[in-house]
Amino acid sequence: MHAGLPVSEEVCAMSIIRIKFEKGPQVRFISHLDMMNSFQRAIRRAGLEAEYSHGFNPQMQMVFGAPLSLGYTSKAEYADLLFAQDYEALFVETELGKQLPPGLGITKSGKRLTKKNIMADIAFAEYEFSIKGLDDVDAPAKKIMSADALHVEKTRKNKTKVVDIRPMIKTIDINSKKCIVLVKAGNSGNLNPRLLAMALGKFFEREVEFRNICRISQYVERNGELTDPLSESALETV
Amino acid sequence: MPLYMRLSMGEVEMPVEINDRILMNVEKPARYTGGEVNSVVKDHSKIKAKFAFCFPDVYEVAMSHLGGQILYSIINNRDDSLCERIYAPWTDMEQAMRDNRIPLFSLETKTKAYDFDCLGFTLQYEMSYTNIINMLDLAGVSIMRKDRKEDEPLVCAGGPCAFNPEPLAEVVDFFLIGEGEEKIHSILDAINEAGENNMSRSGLMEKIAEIEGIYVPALYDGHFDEDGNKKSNFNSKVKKVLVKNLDDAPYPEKPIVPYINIVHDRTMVEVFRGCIRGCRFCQAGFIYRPVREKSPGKLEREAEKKLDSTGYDEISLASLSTSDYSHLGELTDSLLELTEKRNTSLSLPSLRADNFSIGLMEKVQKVRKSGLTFAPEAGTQRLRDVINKNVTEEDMLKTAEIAFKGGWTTLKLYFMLGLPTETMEDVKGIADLAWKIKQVYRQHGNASKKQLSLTVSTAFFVPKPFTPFQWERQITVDEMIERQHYLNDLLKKAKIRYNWHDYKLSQMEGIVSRGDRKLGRAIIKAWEKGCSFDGWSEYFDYAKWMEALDECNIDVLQYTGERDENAELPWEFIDIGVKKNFLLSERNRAYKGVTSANCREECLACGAACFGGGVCYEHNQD
Repeated sequence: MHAGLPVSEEVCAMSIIRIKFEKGPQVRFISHLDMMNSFQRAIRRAGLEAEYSHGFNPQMQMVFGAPLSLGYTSKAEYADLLFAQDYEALFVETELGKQLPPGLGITKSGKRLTKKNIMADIAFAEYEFSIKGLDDVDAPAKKIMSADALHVEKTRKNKTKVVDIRPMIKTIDINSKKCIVLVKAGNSGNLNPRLLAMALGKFFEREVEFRNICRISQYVERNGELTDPLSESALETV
Repeated sequence: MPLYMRLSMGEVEMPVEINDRILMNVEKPARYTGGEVNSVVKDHSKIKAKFAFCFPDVYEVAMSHLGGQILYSIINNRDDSLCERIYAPWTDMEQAMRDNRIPLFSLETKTKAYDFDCLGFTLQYEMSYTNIINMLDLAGVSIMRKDRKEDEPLVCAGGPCAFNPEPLAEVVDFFLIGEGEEKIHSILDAINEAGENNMSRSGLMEKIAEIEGIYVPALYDGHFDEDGNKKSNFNSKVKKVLVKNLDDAPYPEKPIVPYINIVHDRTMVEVFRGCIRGCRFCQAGFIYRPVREKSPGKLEREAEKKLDSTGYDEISLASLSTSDYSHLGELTDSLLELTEKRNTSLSLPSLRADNFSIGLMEKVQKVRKSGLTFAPEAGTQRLRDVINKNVTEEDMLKTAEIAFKGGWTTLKLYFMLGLPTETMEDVKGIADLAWKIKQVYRQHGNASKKQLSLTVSTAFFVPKPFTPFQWERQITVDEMIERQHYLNDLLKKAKIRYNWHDYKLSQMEGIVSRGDRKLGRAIIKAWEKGCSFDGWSEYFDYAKWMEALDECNIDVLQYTGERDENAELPWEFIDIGVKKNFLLSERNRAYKGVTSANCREECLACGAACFGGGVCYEHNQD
């Protein structure tokens, strides 16, 4: 399973189908890698002829969008699946859909014609969650958007560094019931809502917790505009 | 410390709720969430017999067990019954469950273990017994069977370790001795009937006691004093049950496919049961007699169905000794055709170290050459003859030569230390054999100048019930250390990697394997002191076990020492078909260093022919 494929592998594929799928509460504790594995098994059960890598250890070719953290649900996950047959998107959607475990469901699909895979293409993600510790009175969204910087400690491989996540927030909308944020996602910078919660806690000097985090959309960028990864411009132009 | 948790149970079944905060904070939460492809969810209100298949180890081990998948499918194929899985929560989850007062629950519907009619534990390994106690405690089920109330589930057990049921005889309500495929139906029928007729717990137990292959320890309580000492011999025997014709045995057409990586992450087809070889230390080689094979055509169809229904990328043959399958060539050819079409692979474990095997492996592993494993078990020919391991040094060196010429560069050698009659000369033989194999590589190793990766592993001999060595003594911990150090020094000089099994754990295995009712009390005591997951070295606590044995007045040497051939052994009331006289004659041949023919060469009239099937009758059909 590769994060990003060399373009040469993709050239051999007869068709590349991009799917949009949901990750429901039943499978929210399945890791990114295990979920990819589930898709591979589902493709085999469906009898679809996948494209395999041509090395010593042939691997089924597929690329997924930005990984979703354990425990989150999603209404907008994406994957590019490579096939050794020229399949129609709807055919793959139907046949694969029958074999996916409960909690994973394809909602949309399209044929990808460009060379840019979903992993490399994703730029922004939108999350919805309920928030504990902040309310309207604080006008938190306004304060955050007008702040120069939003510092938070990030720990990775036992190294802690302070990062400014303010540039990664595009929009933020907080009300008493729920919160929706649009933040950077993918290879060129990725903001996990959990880190945002920590930053808000620090900023407002109180305990802030996000619950029931759900990724509701992901976007690619075309000509400076955000667009759906299954839109015509995303599938056909770079 | 385990807490004694008795939860108040209502009349209505209520699934357990586990909140996200708990799952977010445990390792691999998918161990507890279920929902896997091919798992079966039934409506509890429409089902009479509710059975929970319980495996006393962590998810990844439990899910790798073929027998569990077989029972699961048999039970769920019945409209009137259901089977759900309950596995031992890992220590982090156990703590969270105790902190939050969450009782043990099933993976499929999160139903409390307490609410099932029957909890069926599989006994694969003696050192998982404390986990059984722990799971009962987590379920709020009484640990001692005599304390169980009318509404508590029946606790039953089966599997290879059930052939010596006595250590758990005060915990388990009934044991199924042998292969469960057929008798599980009788058990479910009895539960259904009990439900319809509002039968009492004791009424149901009476019904179950009538089933062939069932051992109900309560019926023998009169033979024991208050401390669990045996006062008198049992006056009846329990005969094991088995599937006479494996082609007729049900197999899971849709095995459950886990989300997370498990120990054996592939689908399996069982090619045969039993083993023709009769290695004198090997319990499986005697309790599963006679050898019964599945026909290649049947296996091919089974393999195809399993690959189709699981989407696995690998299929493996399961048996005690793959090389001994009579149609191996034919089977691998047809399976390879199947797997190559699908970009999947075939794996062949448990091959004998011979030319034919290397040829097969060449065919199967066209590109990647994974490691080879030889299990000579003993370092000298003399000792290999004692244990009836019919493999010669010449065979092994020749096979190694062919393998090295063919490009293999990784070889593992498995041995046992402490086998009956072993001397330091035999221990030295292990290092000598490993050294010779190293020289073979030097001469014939591949051109790429890659270094040979050679590993020697040793385990300590554990005398097992129903083997010719069941009367043998296990060497003491001091002797274990001495032999291990001696070998370690030799291998260090020869620059050969050496792995060894923990000697303290080996001694505990030795004590529990040949344990009796009295020892069962010490197992519970060890659990009370906090022992669980004893098979996992990071959790095995020898000091606590020793304390527990001491407090229960158990003399370690009495359990690890030599047993009297004339005394009744704690497991002798079980009839495995193989006769005591045969085991004794094999023991005598071992002392004379005389090997015995395998079942296909010559019938030695061990007694297993009484089951009327398998290898015992192969020649008659020719």
